[in-house]
Amino acid sequence: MSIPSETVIEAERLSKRYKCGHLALDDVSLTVKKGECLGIAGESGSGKSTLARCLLAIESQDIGKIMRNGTMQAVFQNPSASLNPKLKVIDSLMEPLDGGKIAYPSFLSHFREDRRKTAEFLLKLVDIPGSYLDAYPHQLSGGQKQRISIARAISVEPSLIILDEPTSSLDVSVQANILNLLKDLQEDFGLSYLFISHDLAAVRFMSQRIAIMQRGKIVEHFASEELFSEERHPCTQQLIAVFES
Amino acid sequence: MNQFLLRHPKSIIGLLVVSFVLMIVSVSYIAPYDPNHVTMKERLLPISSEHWLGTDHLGRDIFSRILVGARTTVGTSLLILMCSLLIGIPIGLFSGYIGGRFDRVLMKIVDAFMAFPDYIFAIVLSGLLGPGMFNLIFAIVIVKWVGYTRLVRSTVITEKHKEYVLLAKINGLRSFQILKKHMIPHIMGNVLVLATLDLGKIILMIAALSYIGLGAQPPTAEWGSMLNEGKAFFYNAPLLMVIPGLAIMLFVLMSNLLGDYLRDKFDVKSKKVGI
Repeated sequence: MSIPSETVIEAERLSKRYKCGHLALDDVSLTVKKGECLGIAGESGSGKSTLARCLLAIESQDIGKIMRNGTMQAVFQNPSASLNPKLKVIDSLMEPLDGGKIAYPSFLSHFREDRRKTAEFLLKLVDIPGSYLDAYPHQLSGGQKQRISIARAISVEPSLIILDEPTSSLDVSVQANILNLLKDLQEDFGLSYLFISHDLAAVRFMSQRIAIMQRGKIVEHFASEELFSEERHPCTQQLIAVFES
Repeated sequence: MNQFLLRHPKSIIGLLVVSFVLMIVSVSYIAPYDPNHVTMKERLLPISSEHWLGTDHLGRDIFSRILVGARTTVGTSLLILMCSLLIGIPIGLFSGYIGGRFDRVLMKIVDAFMAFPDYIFAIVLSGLLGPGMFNLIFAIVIVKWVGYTRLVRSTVITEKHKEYVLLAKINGLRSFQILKKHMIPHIMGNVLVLATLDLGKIILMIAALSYIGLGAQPPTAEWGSMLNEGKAFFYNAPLLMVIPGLAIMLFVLMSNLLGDYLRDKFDVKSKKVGI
């Protein structure tokens, strides 16, 4: 079954129950269109990360189907675990392109597959000096590691990047930098994001549409301007109250 | 270079002993005397310019026997180590990475091997199989591979759920490529440290088994069997036991120092890289 070309991912009625009996996803449907950012907010344990894993095909849903258009990449919460501490930055950064299965995207094609120059260029996109290519992850700060994870994700010009709490383990000042960087990259490359966070302020900043999750369900789904509308679900209002306090 | 020497004094000792042993191994082909040549007229001679470490109860030159014995002992221990690594590492990698029932069954087998004290197990095995170098190698490998399997498996289990492995899967790497690119760098440091420390233990085990007559058979020059042969003459000619004992001790010391050195070297965090 095919989906319209302007849709990058469409999930239909996903449900997943873990072996322990916990219902992590309960009839979740969503669509992300080309160039947009769909935000998913919810308290921890609401099934956001399980949803991300199902969409990335790392885990399989029990019921429902997912249709994808093109390649997917991800940036996860913990920048330290996202880079293999034993590998140099360049080897982690170039992993998607090193496989040889994905062609160098158009914005990298003028490097004529020069691995090092490509890596330097990718680092420049996320404001990290090229001299860090031979460094090991422990020599970098959390924010720098997360920038490298972002550079790695955009290196194949994916049709969708799933951002699973990409700023949650960073300092507040660094969080803002990373969010701005993500937004700039989205504009420059026309990227589509699925932005998952428990931080409603970050979700609102990044997204055009917001879905709120609670106990594995999407309880509400609205345009990001309508966040403060009177009709919001109590769960949403609770999340608003958290970040206003 | 000077700074390096000051920072790692231990490693220098270790490296010196390595070169010393390498020298022994290569020199064994040009030992001053035939190590097995019996000259009853020249038995139990003290240290002299002709026989640097004296002669044994059969008039054989001890220095030559130590040199040739190094080839037997060190060569055998390296062979045992290689076999243990070749069996232990792949099983640990697959067991940890695949997990599930495969892992549980394998770990039961490993536990069964580990339940026996290793010396006793090796003695029983080579006792059952009969004396001889091949059986001794077999017995020690059977005892040693499980340690590597355990070590590798536990590292793989802690690493395999980390995000960088998930990302590698998303990027289309096959399990084999993930093991090669992401897991092997994680295990190599620990495995090499354990291996160098084990080298000393294996030497001791070979020597111990040869000492009780289960390993190298006379007249093969081997440090453990030299100890065994020398024990009858200990009061008259203590050198017969002291010299091979010292050789064993130096080699064990070397392998321990080398282990320390490698542990520092493989800890990426202690490495200085200019940014």
